[in-house]
Amino acid sequence: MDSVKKEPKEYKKENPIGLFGDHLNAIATGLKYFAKPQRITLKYPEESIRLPTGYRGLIRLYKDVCIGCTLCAMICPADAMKMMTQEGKKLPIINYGRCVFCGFCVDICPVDALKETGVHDVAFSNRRDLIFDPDKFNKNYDVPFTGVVRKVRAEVDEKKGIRYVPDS
Amino acid sequence: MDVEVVPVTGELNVGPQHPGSGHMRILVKLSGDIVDDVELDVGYVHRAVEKLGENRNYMHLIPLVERPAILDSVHMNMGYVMAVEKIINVDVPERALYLRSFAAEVNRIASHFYGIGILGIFLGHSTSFMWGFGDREIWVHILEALTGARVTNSYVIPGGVRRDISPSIIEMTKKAISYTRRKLNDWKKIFFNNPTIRARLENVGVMTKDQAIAWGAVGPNLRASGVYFDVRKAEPYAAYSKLDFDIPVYKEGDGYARSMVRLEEIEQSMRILEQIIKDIPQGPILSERFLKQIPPTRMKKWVEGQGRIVLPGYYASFRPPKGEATSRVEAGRGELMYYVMSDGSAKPYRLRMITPSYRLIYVFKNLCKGVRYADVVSIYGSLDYFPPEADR
Repeated sequence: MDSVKKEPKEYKKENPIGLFGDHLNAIATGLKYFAKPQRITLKYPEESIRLPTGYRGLIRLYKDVCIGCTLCAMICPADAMKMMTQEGKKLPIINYGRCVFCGFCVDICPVDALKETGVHDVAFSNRRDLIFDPDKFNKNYDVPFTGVVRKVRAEVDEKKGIRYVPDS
Repeated sequence: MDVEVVPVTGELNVGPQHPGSGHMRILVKLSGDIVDDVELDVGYVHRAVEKLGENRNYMHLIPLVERPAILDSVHMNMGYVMAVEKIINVDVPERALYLRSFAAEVNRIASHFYGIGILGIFLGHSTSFMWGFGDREIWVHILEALTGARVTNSYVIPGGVRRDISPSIIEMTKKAISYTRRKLNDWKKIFFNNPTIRARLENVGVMTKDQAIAWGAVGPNLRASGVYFDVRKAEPYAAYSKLDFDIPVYKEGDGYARSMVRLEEIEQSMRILEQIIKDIPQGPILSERFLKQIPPTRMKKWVEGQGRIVLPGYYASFRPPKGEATSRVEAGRGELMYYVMSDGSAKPYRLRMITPSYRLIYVFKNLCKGVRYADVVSIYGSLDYFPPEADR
């Protein structure tokens, strides 16, 4: 604790003349943003964010690289990842209904057989589809560019806060 | 036709469907417009973190302890990891300590903007709700770049942190600080100095210094009542002993003072971030003890190449020695305490988690006595009470 204790501050109590000015100030600020809106809304279905590298999105498996050491299944906090035997080889399967995207499995994999992809917006029509067997888990999720969705990057901007720039 | 006369006394249910920032029922006993008593029915978002803690191993608990307060997850995570580190007796390198403080302060700003936004919408000021969540987005974006997730970062692990800071994140933070400093001026004009807001907050829910201590208030609510207490100063953890910052303390103890403390803490947090950016030492971000367990090829590729820790197999299921530890951190809403007891197995024997919102239940109940009904929401918002955090 600091040896010098600071005296608690007191805020200024209002005075009637200042009150009017404060009202005007609040309205003027509102008008300022009315004239020059500072929108950071992402028009989602038309625009979609290109997630930065290292983003903990959906995970994919490299089946040939995996050595079946079961470390990923051991560290999984949600029991989403389990091991199964396929053609005599142990391989992980993942249940995205349970996954919390902590990325521990990716970090602990000793041979980099698991990778985080930059995809997090997926939908499933069936709960059984959420369980990815090694063959399904082995694919990349990156959706091919169709031209309908504009990919944008979010950038911190000094004036606007968040700015979306088109991703080339 | 008979007209039913509204009784002079009665009860009103506020909630349980999301009266504010989580599910909770407030049973308000009214006589006329004056609140006689409130009955807080908490526990709708109870997740049994403490009981689950006895059935999970130490690493599994990191994402779990974050869940009670997802928007304040770095603090939740850090407090737990600090307790575990005391049991396994590991030293954390300097750079990792600075990075912990960095993530924690970014998270504190995001959490306070969230709190102010919720307070705004409670008072019917929807501009501040939009602004609060919009300005929070920038800080969440920095956390996303640093940790890989917007919330529930799971960033702090026993022995260090998971990822290193990059020059682009530092650049981003500088821009965010300069933006937020400018935006806070407009915040003051439209919200904090706005007479309509002041009328709703001044002299509402006044908590004197003695009451604040007796009722066990923590964090910004305690400091707004004139008590100079902050865990970052009282028992410095992470890099706070080397950083220079002030603790805003107000005398009044009303809703406005609590909001002003939050506003000034945002300013102080940005001051801390600037110092961290300037002073952060070079070095490893994980304890040497674990770092030497990483194979050299992977060390070169991930840790040195991308500033990203790859976990050695130790973490999958480690067994700490027998022992117990407590840790305290100053979370966004106040003091957060953990007690972890190890019996030598891979799972903790006992995990106790005392969250700041848990302590606010009693404060909230006492503050509501004798106020007007419309002030209940004002008190709720100004306390920044977060039901999931209280229920755990």
